[in-house]
Amino acid sequence: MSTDVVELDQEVEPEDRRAFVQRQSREHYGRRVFLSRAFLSLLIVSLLVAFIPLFSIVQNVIGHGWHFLTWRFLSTPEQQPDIFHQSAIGGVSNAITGTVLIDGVAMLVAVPLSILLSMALFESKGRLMHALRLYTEVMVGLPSILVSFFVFAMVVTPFLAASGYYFTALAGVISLTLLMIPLMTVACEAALRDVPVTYSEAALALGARKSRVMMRVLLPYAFPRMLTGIMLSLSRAVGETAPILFLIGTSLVTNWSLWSEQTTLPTQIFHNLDSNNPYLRNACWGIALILITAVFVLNLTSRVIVARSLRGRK
Amino acid sequence: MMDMSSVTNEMTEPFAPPTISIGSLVDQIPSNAPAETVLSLRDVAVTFNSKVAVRDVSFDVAKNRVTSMIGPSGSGKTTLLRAMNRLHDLTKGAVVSGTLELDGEDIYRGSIPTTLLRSRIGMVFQRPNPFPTMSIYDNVASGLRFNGIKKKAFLDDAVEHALTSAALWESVKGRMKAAAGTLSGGEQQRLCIARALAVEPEILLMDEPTSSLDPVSTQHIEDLMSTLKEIVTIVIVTHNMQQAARVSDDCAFLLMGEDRAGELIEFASTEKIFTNPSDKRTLDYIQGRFG
Repeated sequence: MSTDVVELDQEVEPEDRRAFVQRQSREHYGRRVFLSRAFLSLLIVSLLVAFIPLFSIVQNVIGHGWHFLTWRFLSTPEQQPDIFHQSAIGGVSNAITGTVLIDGVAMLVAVPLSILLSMALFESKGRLMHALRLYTEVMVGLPSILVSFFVFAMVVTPFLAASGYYFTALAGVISLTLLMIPLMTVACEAALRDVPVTYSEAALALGARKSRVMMRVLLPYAFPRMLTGIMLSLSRAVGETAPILFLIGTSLVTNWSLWSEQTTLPTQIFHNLDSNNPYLRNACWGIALILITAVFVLNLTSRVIVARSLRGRK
Repeated sequence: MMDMSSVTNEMTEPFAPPTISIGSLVDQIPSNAPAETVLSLRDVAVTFNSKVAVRDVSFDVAKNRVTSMIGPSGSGKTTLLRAMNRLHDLTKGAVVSGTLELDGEDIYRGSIPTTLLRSRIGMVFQRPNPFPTMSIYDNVASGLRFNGIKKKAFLDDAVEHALTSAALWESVKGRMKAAAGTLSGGEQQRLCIARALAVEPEILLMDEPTSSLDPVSTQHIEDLMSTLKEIVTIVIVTHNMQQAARVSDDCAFLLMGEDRAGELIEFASTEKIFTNPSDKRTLDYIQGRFG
């Protein structure tokens, strides 16, 4: 090796080296331009492949669904049309209240629990807690139908069904809470890890206890990112069908009871698609538009809040 | 800064405004009168996962003086500084051995709880790190609040006093609610000094406090130190030998040994270190032969 280098040093004078490098660069120029253009084309193709269907979803949902967005559709509950009045399908108020109830309660339980859990995982150092953190991360990928099955087997069958409650919103709440906890915990813990260590050191050097550092320094700093994670988890839960489909039953009346059957927007889409009534199937576009709008609004709201709280930070 | 420098001269009369030449400065350093020891280090060593980072450190930090720690990168200056307020407790695998005594009490094996120790030994970090989610006022008040003080009147007074001591009050008094991130780098560092001072520490540890600042801001903070030592004992880590010569009364020189562990080579008055060091390695370092 070293002898090669020495030989090269002796053979090629500095001036010749410059000429060599420049000649090589000129010769390769055409090939380099071609390669970079080919790569650019690949990027454009992948953009099209991904975005044509993504845009087309929204375009179709808006195109087919916008005329469902009437106060009547939003404020009346679903009706089962009889054979003579096939178009008398009612609205979605039962599904809206069901969605707000189930996702709202699940969020009220999951958010504080996940934030506390993320703090515990963040602060912990032991091997056991390390294993728990890993476990939480794995649970993020838990198939949602499994959660549904678990709640059915471990909660509904032994407890709720035994008391006469076969389909309840409560079972759906439990299922969605279980689904959201790992998602939210992992996001919140990542947000805490994102806080530069110099701020907690500064607080500790002032004589702060760890709990104070967490509440006064880490949490305020991590809040925007935590909120983003929470909102993403929530919008995932709002759109979930599998974890609740076989737990909450259906409700054709608008009600706010956790012990009664409920319909949510995604399960109503499922049931409507299952029907052979063309009006019910067509109404899915309207429900889809409401669902998409809700998810967009959730995401945009969290973005606005995040941008606000990041203002004035360096 | 006009009023600032007059204050400086009043309070420490032998200390003329800093000049560049070390020699002329050294003449003006007060003679090494016996001073009360506030923090004493005996055979202090810090290891990370049984790898020695710094060892064999013994010296006394004298009350109301500035003690500097100098030495090239890797000599363990910052590691040693962080051992003084137990910040290594946070690092897994870090072990501090030897004895560190604050007013005669062992800070690692004694009865002082770590959080209370840290409120007696404050710290200013290499990069200004005011809490970005807090206002200027809340930053300065944060240490007192962490320590359970809530009385508004006391906090207001303490915040003004600390900001005045850090020579920042005049420029921020009209915008106490502004986010700390709106200040310039030098102002942020003085805010951090004010934040540390508000807790009324006995010792202030400064870890290269000017290394990320421009020369003017550096000058402000150096000026500040000579007045601050009237109220708080200062230990400063610095890469900058001129700075050590300008601001400190005592000086510890550390060097990385052959096994890459830092060790104390010499501790003496700054005057002695810079004019007549006992160790040849110290002489080589201050003359710029290495490091």
